[in-house]
Amino acid sequence: MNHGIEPGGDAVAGLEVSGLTKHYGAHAAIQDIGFRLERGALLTLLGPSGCGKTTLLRSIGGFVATDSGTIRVEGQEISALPPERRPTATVFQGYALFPHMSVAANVAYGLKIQGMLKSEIAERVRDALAAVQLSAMAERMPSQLSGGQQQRVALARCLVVRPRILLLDEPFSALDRNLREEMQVELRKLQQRMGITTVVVTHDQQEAYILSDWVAVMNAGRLHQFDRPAGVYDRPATRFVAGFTGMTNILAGHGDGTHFIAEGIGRFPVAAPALPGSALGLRPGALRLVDPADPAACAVGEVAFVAMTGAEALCEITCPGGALQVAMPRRDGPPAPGALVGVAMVNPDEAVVLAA
Amino acid sequence: MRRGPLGRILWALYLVLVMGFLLAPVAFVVFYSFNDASMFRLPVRAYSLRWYREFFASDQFQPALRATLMIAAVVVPFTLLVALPTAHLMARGKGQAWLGAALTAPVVVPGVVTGIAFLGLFTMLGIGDALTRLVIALSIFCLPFSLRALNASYAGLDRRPEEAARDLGATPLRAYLHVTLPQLKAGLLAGAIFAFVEATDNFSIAVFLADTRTKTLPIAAYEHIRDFDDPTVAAMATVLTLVALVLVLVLEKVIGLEKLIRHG
Amino acid sequence: MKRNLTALPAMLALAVLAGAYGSFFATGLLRQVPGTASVAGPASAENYLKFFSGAGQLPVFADTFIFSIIVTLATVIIGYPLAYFIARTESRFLRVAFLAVLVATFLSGSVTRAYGWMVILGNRGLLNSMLMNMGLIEAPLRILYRQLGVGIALVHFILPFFVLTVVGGIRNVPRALEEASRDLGCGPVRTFAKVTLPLSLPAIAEGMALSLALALSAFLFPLMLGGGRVRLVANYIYDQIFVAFDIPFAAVVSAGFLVCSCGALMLMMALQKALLRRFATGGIGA
Repeated sequence: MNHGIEPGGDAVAGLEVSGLTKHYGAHAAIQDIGFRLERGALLTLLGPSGCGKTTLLRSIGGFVATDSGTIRVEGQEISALPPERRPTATVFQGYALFPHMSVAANVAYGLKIQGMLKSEIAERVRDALAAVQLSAMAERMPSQLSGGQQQRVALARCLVVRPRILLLDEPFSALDRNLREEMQVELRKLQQRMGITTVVVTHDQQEAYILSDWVAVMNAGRLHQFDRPAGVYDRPATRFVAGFTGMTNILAGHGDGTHFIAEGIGRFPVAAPALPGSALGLRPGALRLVDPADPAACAVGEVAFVAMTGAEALCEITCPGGALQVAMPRRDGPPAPGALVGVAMVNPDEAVVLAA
Repeated sequence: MRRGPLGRILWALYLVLVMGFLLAPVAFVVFYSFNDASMFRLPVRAYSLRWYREFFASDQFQPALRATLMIAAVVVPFTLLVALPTAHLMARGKGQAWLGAALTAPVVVPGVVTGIAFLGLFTMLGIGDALTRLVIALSIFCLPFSLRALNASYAGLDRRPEEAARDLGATPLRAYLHVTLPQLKAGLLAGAIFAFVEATDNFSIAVFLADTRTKTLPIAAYEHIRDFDDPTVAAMATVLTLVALVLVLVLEKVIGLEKLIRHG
Repeated sequence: MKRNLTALPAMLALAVLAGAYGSFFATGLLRQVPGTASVAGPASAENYLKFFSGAGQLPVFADTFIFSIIVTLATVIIGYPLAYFIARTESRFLRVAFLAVLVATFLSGSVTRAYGWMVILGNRGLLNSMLMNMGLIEAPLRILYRQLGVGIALVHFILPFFVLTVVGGIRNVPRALEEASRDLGCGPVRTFAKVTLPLSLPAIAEGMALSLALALSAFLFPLMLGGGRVRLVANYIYDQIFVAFDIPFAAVVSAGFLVCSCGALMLMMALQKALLRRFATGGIGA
């Protein structure tokens, strides 16, 4: 498991978490989480619901008292501080706008608490609302805004206090698809312009790839992989990450140095060490259908069914030891169910050998 | 839901009857209060404000009205001051819900028992002043009614805005005052109204604690009915009904009656 | 530290309440100084023996319970359809109108309403005057100063409490469940009986418990509308103090009555649980 210690990290990290653990009774919500994130980077915590990503985010914000471990922001240890004394600001799921305050009052709140001069507050609020393109809405109440506008108010309310860490909990889940994509790009631009170290929680891998400098994939309270988005997609570190990112073919077997022998399915030309109990991960797009007699065929099976998924067709091939999923362009003419076909690899580099 | 014509007629009939039953006593009392004669007789011969003059000039009702308002003026804020932290504890504290549950005892225990119990306690402690006795006993008696309204408010409360305030630098106390308390406004108002009504309307406890000089409106009304047979109490009841109507309007405007039920 | 401070007001209130109830029930162990309202020691179980052997309070207890149960059932029968209507009507106007009437009735106070029923139901009251003017009856109907009159006024007093409690329970039953039942071929009446009623049963039980508690502790209504001729426990206790000046015995009667009331309420909750279990098997299981 790669615990994501950023290479070359002798400079002070924007956010550094180590050994973070939180139990609810006997259940471990998060367990021994550790990573370093450089200043100004955007990290997404990715995982299914209940994986501990929100608990981790709330621990950083100070809303969850952890059992052990440390959290440092730019070198300063903050784990013992209450939320109001941490240099973090959170965009909560559902936004948590103050329902009885206007947009401007919501945004001004953090500055008022700091005891800033009225004139200065007004100026900062004006700038923050301009940054999220909501200058015209300053006097509205939150209930009079659309979901996207509410989200931008929540963002402005955080940015205006100039936090050193910006935290966002499922910020786009309540928005419809088109607006979501627009807001993702907007957030990314704003975050890069302001250079704020940012952590986003999401269960949507697409969102994670679009937004992030780094992705942390979590499951059952553990950190499975801390990597660049492409690294997560191309080289999943564990079977969980492979499955979660859509690597539907995970074949049990072992390597013999030059090939991977998948039991009951076939031999795949992937350089794999002879470790027992390992598995080969292949995306449906990394495979193609060939004639059963083709020497490139790694496995032979019968077409069980074919499904149309858009420009591609997804075929399920039944082999003696299990099934393979193969995606192919529809223009190549998908086979009929019941036909005998061979399965070959498109590019051996796209296969991943997963340890036990 | 779709209904046949017979079903519709039965429903309409039932609703009219229930509405009539609910409104009958209050509506009749209002009508009766304007009847000039001291005995009720159909048809009514003349209408007047005679009984209102009697009510507002009475040396029985005037001190009672003053005492009742004074009691309410102390009981309502006092009740809220106890109910608010208690509701907070019941919603947020760990294992302290029993406190609130124990405080609802006076709702289940017959008022007579509670009344005698308070009488005994005050006698033992040497608290002889009727006003003090009434204020203490009614404050505690009204507590569960305000508590219920506030519990409902707490149950419907979104905690995230409070966390957002903490996140933006507010201390727990400031976050509570700036964000949570304003969201409890409806519950506080409903709690105040319930406490006010229970404090001004209570008879079974107050009857043990009042004395000949200090009595509340319900007690003065009961004594008047016992000793006289005229519509002065109808005039008083009309005034109280008017107050009730104003309170209903306030509830509907500020909270909305439908919401009141949802958390009820 | 902070939590202790938050608990302080409730603790204080509870201490006063416990002090009141505690000292009251403790006086049950003392004895009345004959002919006076004062009490004296030494502590003995004498009053409890008098309570258990004396038949004086038995008819009063029995009357009170039977009367309260009838009042509660009448409240349920009159109130449940209203609660259902308010919860399910599509007209916001009717819903708010009925709610307003209920809340206004609730807020208008018990003295007002007791008085209203007195002048309506009296021998020369509205009802009898109207019926006699129309020639429907010769002599006035005797309603006041009997259990019937007290009961009518008491149902009227309790109705808003019951309906407002049950409306919430019915509104919490998702309409989609009723639609699913209709969709599966159940008629409206059976849908109501098999889906809506069981799901709103906890609220009905809560409303019934509240109604029963209110009926059992009724004091003002029997006092005003019963004219001393309707004897219920609360009035019996009141008489022990203001007529017989026997505070210790009043305390014992109160304690006995409280035990019986709590027993009745617990029995009702048990009944509700048993009923829910029956519904859960849908009448198919054993």
